[in-house]
Amino acid sequence: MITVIKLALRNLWRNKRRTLITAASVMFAAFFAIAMSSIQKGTWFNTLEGMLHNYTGYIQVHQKGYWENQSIDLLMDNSPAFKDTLLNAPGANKVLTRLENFALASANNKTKGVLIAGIDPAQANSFSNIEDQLIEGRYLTPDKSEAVIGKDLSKTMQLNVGDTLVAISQGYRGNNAVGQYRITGIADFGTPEFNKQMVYIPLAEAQYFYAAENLLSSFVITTSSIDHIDETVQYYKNHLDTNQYEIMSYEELIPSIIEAQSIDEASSKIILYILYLLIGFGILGTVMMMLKERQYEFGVLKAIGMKSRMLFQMVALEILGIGIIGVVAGSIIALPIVTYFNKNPIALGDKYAETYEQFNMEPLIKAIIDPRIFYEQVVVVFVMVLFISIYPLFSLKKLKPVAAMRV
Amino acid sequence: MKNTIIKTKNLHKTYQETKVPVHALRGVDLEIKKGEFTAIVGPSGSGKSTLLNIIGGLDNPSEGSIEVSGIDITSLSASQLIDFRKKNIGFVFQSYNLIPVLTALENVEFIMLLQKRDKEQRRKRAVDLLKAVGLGDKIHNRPNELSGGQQQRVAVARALASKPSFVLADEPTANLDSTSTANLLDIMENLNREENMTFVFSTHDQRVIDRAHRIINLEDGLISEDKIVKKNQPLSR
Amino acid sequence: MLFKIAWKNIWRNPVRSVILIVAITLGIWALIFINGLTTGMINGYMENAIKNRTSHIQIHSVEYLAEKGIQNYFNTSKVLPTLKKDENVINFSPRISISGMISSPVSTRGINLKGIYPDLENQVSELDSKIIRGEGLKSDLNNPILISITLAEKLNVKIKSKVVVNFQNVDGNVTAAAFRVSGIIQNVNGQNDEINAFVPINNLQKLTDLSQGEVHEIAITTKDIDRVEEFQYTLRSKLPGNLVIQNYKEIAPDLELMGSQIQLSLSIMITIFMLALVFGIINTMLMAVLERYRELGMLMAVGMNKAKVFFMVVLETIFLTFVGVPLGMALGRLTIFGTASRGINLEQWADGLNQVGMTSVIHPALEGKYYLVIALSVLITAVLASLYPARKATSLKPVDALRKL
Repeated sequence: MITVIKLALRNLWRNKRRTLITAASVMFAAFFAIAMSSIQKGTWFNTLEGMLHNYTGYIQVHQKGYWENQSIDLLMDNSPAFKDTLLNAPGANKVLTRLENFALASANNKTKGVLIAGIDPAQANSFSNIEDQLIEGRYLTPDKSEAVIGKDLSKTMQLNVGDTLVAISQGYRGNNAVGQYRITGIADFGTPEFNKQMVYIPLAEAQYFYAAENLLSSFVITTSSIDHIDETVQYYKNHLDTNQYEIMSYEELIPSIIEAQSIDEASSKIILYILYLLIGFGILGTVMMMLKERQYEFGVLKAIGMKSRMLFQMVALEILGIGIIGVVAGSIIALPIVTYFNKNPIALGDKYAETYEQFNMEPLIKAIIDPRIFYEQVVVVFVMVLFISIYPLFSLKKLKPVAAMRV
Repeated sequence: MKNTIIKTKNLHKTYQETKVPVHALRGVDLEIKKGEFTAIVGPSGSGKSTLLNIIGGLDNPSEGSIEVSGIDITSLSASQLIDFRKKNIGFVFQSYNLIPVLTALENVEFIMLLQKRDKEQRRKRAVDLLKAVGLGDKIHNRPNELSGGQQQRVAVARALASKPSFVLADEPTANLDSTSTANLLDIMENLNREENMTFVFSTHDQRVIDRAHRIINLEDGLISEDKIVKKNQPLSR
Repeated sequence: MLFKIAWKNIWRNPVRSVILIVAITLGIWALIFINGLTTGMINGYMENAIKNRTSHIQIHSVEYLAEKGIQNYFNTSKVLPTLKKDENVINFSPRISISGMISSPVSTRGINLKGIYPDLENQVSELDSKIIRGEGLKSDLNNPILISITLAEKLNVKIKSKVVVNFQNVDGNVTAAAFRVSGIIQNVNGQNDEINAFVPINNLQKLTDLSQGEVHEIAITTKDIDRVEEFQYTLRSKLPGNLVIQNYKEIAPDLELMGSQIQLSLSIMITIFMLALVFGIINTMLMAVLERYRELGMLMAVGMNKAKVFFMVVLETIFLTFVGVPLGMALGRLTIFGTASRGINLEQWADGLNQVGMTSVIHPALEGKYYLVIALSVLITAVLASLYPARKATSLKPVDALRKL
């Protein structure tokens, strides 16, 4: 085998130009595939993580049936023991308590539908850095009738720091909810949807507002890594009473976004595969040229007793070599570009921002550095080489030394 | 007979590649014994390449039988045939004999590698053979760093590497100048004399014919003349 | 003569030529089909947006555009006569549009409450056709309301269920009103369509203390959407100055942006596919030249000049390429033609597609000019890719070429 590898390598080296032209085509495809996938995946990941860290979390636990209607009547006790159970799960690192409902907010003779969420200020801040998102004013103090609102909401309702907002909503078990809150801060939450309708107030205030003493609508959980939530979800399913509680992963909480992402990714995969198909045809052409050019040499080798299997191994290794050179070169070129767009994401202009808003995405182009994207190209190229090798497999088997040497 | 190496009987070969069938061989009976230094001669199209290919197991006869070292090679499968060639026959072709990416030494070693001989044995024999063909100082040169004559000498060394029953050379001097031709023939004759190696070569080069011990003349696919011109002179041990 | 030789030359190695032709055919087919599909998706998105979100033209007061408050209404008395007279106007629908909060016994959500004339609205946005349950606003129910299916599920309400809507009246007081769900409409997600709820305009006027003719917007459909800007301009001169007349592109800039995005991604994709083809073409032609070294040398030895040899190789490349082009085009056209009317059903991904405002049935379409663009790109690619092999063919010296092999 070592001899075959040596032969293959030397053959590649011997016809440097051909090797390079062919490898260049693979490099081009690999580079493009890596850059495109990284940016696409990164942009989605950014949107998703933004969304999850802003609000949704990786896992949520509710009273059973809550999520379907988000009914203010399906609440849970804010029990420290329960929270400890949640924190004890493998991977779980933060648990946020929240009480939320839709409400109508009025101020300055203007009225708008908003989402009023009661949070534990310190806890929520460690969860989604609300304090850093403030563009004006200061953050909430527990137990005071204060509110932090999104920047778009502040603009449309002409609410500034210090102004008062009146809220009405439906409270627990048919109670009427009425409350008033002083704006202490205005924040840019990143996602347009939140900027337009988010009102944060301290949890105790919300419990008072919704007439839901010591009750919560959700426990929001983050784990140390988004890739390991399955384990945590499983732990909850084993340790909590699933007749009373529902345990939902982010995939179940925002299914349509996950699906939109997979459609987007699937469609670009198709384009990439077609690209590889075209490149594959190019390589097949090269292989045919190579086989033809070296027909005499192969004839001699076969005559003196080299079996077609070994000849095939040599040629297949040469094709593989070209593929590897191409993938490696493509990766090397792609890496700095991907890294650059990872470190310096491009914020899109206002015009694009509006389009992205329609899709609930943050108008930011950001690449992700994910080794899996690189591996994937290796796999694709390997499969391509496998397919291309079918041609030499048969042609070398058929090759008759006498005919080959009659050139 | 024990020291018969090649024996053909009523060999026919008809090519059907074009519309008109070509009868390359039309009944060749031939016997070559161990230690012979035989030239098969004849004009282009006389069938000498076809005969050589069949003797070498590279082509099948349309009719007739061929035994090499007592084995009917027409009965071997393709894969068995490759093994048989590897062990029993050394080949020297007109040109492009060598693997271009390997050095002279590696080219000679290569065939022994295919036979899975161990490394040291392989290396030693390859060096010895290259010395024997007068290329002891060029063992690390690649084919394109060697002259045509030197390349053919490497080819001879390679042909001998597997200790074959005989060496088959198809117009080995076709692309060589006089000096190289003489040189190559000296080496082959030496090997014939010293190691009792059997050589069969096709040629229409008068310089080669002059050196042959036995001359088989082929015309229109039939042997027209078969004469022994010189006695073999195996070295007495 | 040169043409004939070139044409014959490419068929000397049919397998190789066929491989390249297949590659080109596939590439072109893929280009056409993917672009047809994307165009179809965008068309669907735009149709959705125009039907549900923007119509062709909308009229608002200046103040309303700055701030969507109930107080920023305008009076239709100076507008409707003009619209009725204008022959370019097909339909129009005046609307009261206010923000509010809807509650059922189960849940509370934010909504966009629209007071409409059911018949006029139906002509503009085909509202009735979207009703999937119930009978719409002409029902016998007291205070009927149409809500989206998404909202209905969240509120857990059915036809005839009672819902309470809180909103601000024109004096700034928050009022509550009870409605009964008379119909449920299919909404298009991704365009904020799910929060729209419709009630008859008369009812909403009473509840908000707005007078007859006081509305927030008028949505208009015109005769020819392609000439909407022209119409917008003439309308401008006929209406009071405190009104803003916007066409659909101004209302939803994302629509135009999507169009230009498509152009951009099409050109990027063409470039990338062409680059991929370049490699294939160079390889194949180089192979064709190298294996004919001797023959080319002979041709040059007997006096064929370099320009002719060069031209011959270029011609061969063009011929070879252009066997694949019409094949790919025909295949692409056929695929689009075959799927256009029935549409490609992506039901499995309906939720995700709806999320971004796309329909799950896509009707591929591609403008004729794109076929031309693609054909032209391939021609340019073929010529560019042939330069290297052609130069290679002419750079050889007859003597060397003849000596080879």
